[in-house]
Amino acid sequence: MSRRVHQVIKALRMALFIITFGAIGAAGTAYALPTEVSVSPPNGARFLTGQKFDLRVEGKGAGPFSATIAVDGVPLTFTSGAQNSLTTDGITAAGYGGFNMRGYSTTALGTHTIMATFTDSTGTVTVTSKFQIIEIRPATGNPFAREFRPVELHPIKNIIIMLGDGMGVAHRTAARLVRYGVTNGTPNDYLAMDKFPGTGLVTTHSLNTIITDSAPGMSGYVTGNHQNNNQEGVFPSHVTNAFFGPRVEYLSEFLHRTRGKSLGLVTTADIEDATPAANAIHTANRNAGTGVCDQYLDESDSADTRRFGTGLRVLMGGGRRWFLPAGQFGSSRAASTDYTALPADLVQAWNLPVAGASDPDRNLIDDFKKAGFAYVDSATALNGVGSPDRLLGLFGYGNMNVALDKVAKRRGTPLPGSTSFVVDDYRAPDQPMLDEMTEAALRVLSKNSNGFVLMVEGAHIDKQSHAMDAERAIGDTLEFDRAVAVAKNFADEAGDTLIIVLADHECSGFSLIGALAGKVDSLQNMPSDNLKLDPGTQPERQKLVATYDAAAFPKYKILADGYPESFDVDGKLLVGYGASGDRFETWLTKPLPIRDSLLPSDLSGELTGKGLTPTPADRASDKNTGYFLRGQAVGRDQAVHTAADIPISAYSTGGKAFQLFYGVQENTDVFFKLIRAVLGAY
Amino acid sequence: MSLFIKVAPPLLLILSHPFCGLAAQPRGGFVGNEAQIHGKSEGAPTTIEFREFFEADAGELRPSAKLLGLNGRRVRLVGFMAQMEQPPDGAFYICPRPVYADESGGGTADLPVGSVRVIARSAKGKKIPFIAQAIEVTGILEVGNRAEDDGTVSAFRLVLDTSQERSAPPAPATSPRAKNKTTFKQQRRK
Repeated sequence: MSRRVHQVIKALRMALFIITFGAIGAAGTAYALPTEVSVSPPNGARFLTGQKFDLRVEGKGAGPFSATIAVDGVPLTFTSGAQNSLTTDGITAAGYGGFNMRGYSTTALGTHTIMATFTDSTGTVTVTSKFQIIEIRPATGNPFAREFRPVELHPIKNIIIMLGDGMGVAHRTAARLVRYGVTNGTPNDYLAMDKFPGTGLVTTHSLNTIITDSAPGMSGYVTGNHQNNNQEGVFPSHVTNAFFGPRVEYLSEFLHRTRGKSLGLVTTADIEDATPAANAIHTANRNAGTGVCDQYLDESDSADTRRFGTGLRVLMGGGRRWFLPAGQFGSSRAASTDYTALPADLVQAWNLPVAGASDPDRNLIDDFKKAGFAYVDSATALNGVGSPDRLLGLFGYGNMNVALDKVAKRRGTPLPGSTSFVVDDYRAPDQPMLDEMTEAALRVLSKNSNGFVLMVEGAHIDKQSHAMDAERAIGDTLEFDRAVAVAKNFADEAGDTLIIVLADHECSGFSLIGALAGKVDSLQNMPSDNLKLDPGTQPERQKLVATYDAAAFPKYKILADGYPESFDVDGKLLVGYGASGDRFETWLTKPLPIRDSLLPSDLSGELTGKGLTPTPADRASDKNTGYFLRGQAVGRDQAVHTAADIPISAYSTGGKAFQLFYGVQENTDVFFKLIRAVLGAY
Repeated sequence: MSLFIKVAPPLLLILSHPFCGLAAQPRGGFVGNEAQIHGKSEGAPTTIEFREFFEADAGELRPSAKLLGLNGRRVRLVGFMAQMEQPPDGAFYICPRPVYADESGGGTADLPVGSVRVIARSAKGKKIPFIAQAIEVTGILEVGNRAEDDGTVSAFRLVLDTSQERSAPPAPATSPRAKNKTTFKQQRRK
């Protein structure tokens, strides 16, 4: 072809390109569709027959908005959301439209398809989501058995969930090594939880990430569904108040409504913390403490109507600050962390007696008392409370203190280098141990002949692992195991009880790397390693990590209270952190602040008067003498959770429900297995 | 020398460190003097200790007469800066002991009940880097619950003296403090 022909063809191609893509561009402008269109429950959700959950369709775009929803092709009517309006359900964030059908449930087994449309002024988007109704029925036995034997049902009456927050395999091993030691390769004894026969592994992922936080970590076990991080008892949504999101019914609510069981929540954390709250509270903000604690009571069904709520009868932990009126010292109540009146259709569909209100001035302790709860605020009061029908125990203003510091106070012996007690600083000098709280909870809950669900959390296993404080993390694992032993004793006496011991996730990549080579005394007098930052220079303290043969068998002296006399023993167990933040490592217990040598003399004297010494003993001393370890996960921050599976140990009396937990299982499977146990369907 | 003794050297290091973003501010650019704002004379601060905050008996918290008497007055307080996973903007908490506060409970669940929110007005909107040793703060004490913008409630606040917010001159390279400062910088850059 001639050059001219080529030019013509090239020009035609260019024109075609402009026409084609120009038209697409114009169409893109003219036919923009709503975005972020989603339907709740999210794809892959699983429920029991009759378990309640909210359906919701929402999207972002240019209003007015409309929506439709159908399950398996059958259209449903929304309980809230005005069609062809800008405001829709009145609770949806600006720029979005939202439509709800509250309190849905079905008994139709199998997989179901939700098909929804969302329309704004530019067009309509169709979305689908599948959910499953799980069949729970007794095993049919071996069809090839020579003789037919009817299946014996062993319904479990009481469920005890022992939740060691952040507790991975290594936490358990560390506690066993410290508590019992090893001789010639054989553990001298095992922890109470080690002795449980049903052992398996559990995945820990949440709806939106492989690394969960404690909110969906817990709620996955007691709703059967994944939720987003920071969220508990709700599916993701864009609503104006964290408590307005689409709900999913908890184990406690389902069993209270259908079986008349009670709920008990016991923790060493602030009671508003994610783990206890993720058994009873529906919120997308785990830190909304005012609303969380209000909802504990508002949806406890203290009149035992069994039409709604959790049947909460025991609530114990820290967090008194959320129960005091806003004006009172020590109160953290505020409108910004409360919920306003819940949506009318939510109240109606979930049979709630009250919508609630923003009330930071509420005296929640008084309201608990009016609802029939006995209130205690110290270990002494707890010991004397007897067996009331309902029990509220608030033993600190925020988190309770850790076992190491509580035990120091009980022994009347300050930790080395200190003349005062941490619990006194926290204005909570008389705090109970977790096993004592568990015992009291069981006394109260066992009064319900219908049975109960009790969740007991060892919260500081996680919190101290975040802080890379090995001694406190191990101490709290020991405390937690003592509570496990109390639960086991109860199960043996009461019968028909299932205990599962597990964690919501692992924290810090906690690992047992060896033992201290040499004596602790030498550590305390060793020159500082803190400036040895040249990779070619090995810090002295790193040379003290005895690995392999040199680690031998660490030994601790255990006192009558069940805890080590000291964690700083010659040849002590050493811990490393795979998900660490920056730190300076000394290998010593970190009980106290030090008196900084650079302070002015008057200030130095003042600190000395407070019992502070220049002895290396706390974080400041870590910095002054320890060797620097760059965080593997984060910089100057705390260690983080990991995606590792966690161990589960199960024990049951009256049946072999513990066998349900063999093998590797998804975290949401635990919920269905618990129900299976309650029905005797195993 | 006197400047470093009268105010807490570590805090000066915090506030003057490039990582906290304040060093870029012009010297003397921190507006206002707390004493003038509160209409009180900026005399010698009164020292108060954490253990003096409440009446000694256990149970319900009752602020002490000394604490209430110092409301709105200039005080001097020694303690430890809380290390927080979610630290507040333009402020930090000072506590009687070293404290780690993770994200739970709005990040304040681990703080002792007498913790004081120290407000550096010139650091508004900025995070103040953590420092792990005893510090001394002086400023105007405010007593009474207040809901903060971050959703938390503070019972006690101390609005830092402007002299503590102002950038400190670098310490002589040969002084012990220079060594301390070097260490601090090294940590911050990790």
